[in-house]
Amino acid sequence: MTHPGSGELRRAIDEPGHAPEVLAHASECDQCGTELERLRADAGFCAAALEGAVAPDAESAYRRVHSRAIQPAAFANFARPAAALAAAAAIVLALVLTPLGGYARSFLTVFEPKQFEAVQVSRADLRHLRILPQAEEVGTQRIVTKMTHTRYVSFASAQKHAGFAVRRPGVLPAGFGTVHDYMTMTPSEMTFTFNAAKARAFEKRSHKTLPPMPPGLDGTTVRVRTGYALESSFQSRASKEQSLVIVQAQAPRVTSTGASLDTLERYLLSMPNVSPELARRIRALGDIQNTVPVPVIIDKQTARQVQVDGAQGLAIGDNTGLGAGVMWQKNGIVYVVAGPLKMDQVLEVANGLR
Amino acid sequence: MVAATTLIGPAAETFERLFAREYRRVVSIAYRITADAGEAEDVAQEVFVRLARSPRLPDEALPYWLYRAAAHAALNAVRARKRRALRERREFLLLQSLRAAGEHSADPQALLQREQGRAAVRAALLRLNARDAEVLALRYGGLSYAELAGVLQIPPAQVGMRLARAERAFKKEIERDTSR
Repeated sequence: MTHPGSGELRRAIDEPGHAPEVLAHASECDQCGTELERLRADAGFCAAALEGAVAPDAESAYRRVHSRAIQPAAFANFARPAAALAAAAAIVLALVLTPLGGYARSFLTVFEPKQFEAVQVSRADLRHLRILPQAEEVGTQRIVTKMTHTRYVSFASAQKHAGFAVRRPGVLPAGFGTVHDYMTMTPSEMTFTFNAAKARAFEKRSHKTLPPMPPGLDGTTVRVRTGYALESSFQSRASKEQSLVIVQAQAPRVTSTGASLDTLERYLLSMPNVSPELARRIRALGDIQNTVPVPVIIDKQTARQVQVDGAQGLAIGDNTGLGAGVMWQKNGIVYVVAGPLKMDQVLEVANGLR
Repeated sequence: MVAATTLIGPAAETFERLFAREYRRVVSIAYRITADAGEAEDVAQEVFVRLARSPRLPDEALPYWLYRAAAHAALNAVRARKRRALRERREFLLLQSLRAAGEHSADPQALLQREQGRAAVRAALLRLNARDAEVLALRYGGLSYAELAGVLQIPPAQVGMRLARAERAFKKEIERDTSR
């Protein structure tokens, strides 16, 4: 064998089983044997200097790290207000701000949201929408840029990382704000490309019939770009589970490489399980390019257009009296204020943003 | 790429599990350089806090990032300490006693296990080039050759060479001090 290099000899000291022929060679070769001994002496010296056991208490260390990395409130915050209103706000967020659930996203293709309109949906409608074929069954989703979330416990630090000029409430309703929690979101981008062959394969597999893709839709890529966003929540003194939530986000943009918005809308609304009534209500919105349809559950929630923060907004109240929320768009920023409050309290917060 | 906080937030266990699995090792790596258990723990906790607060996760495998960050942070901590007042003076005195001890003992273990020896070790690590100090901390902190290759992002075949070179340089630094 040729003479092994110092690296091989060094490894043979620590891992003799790795290449036994190296040690065998060194035992017969004077030159390599000398080098091996030199390396062994260096290693022994270093081991004496650098070895030593430490036995840290990982449990108490974790508690310290945890309390420094994240304030306890951050965890509690995942439990949102129980009010049905919050659910509506969450749907809007899911549709508008986060690239979740391909269908809903494409289903509500908006180029730039400028206004919000309530679309009455029945519970049955919501159930049916959930059993639509998944986006992956009629095309391919690709995340180009993933959104990242970061939590902060002070407005000042959140503001620094928000990516745009963010606002905060001038006053908080009584009983809110013992704990502040801020979450910033970075811009994201995802694409969805329609694929007729995939849709046909799905039909064959599932024995379901999908509407034929209109001309030009196959191969069309829809691109959804979301901007920076900040979600601020102010915990209720009465219950940790309830928070006043303020979301402000740079308006998302959706673009299409081929099919027009009309074509997309027609195809998606002709999906099985979108009731003709729901399809009619969405079509009735008119300016779909700039309108975000906000699902409002019939007989549970009431919705009305309001003037808020100098803009036209949509206010949704819960008939049970558990909560209210308002959403609007101003200067390219989409705002949502919602909480377990009365509508006039929510509007007061919304109008008091500074 | 995922946000570190998504690791910590909705999937709190994920970060907790990572911590439970890696904390001791991260401390162990830092300890090679600080030679002080308390300081090594501070360094390790700092590294985990940094990860938790980071808006983006490192591109590489998380444990590897932790190991390397621990080595760097420990070197920085020792460097900062070195700047403190009296540091030079104390080091001088320690080296004096080391030299005296060296004259009486050729056994590096007996020599270096002393408190004074630790100071010399830290001083020598600081004088080494950072890459050598890093490989020593990682290897004597408990990483295998395969793990070293991953952390240092070099082919496994080169690990032995890097390590041998670092050991040689380290030994020379210590000897230079003790024979001064």
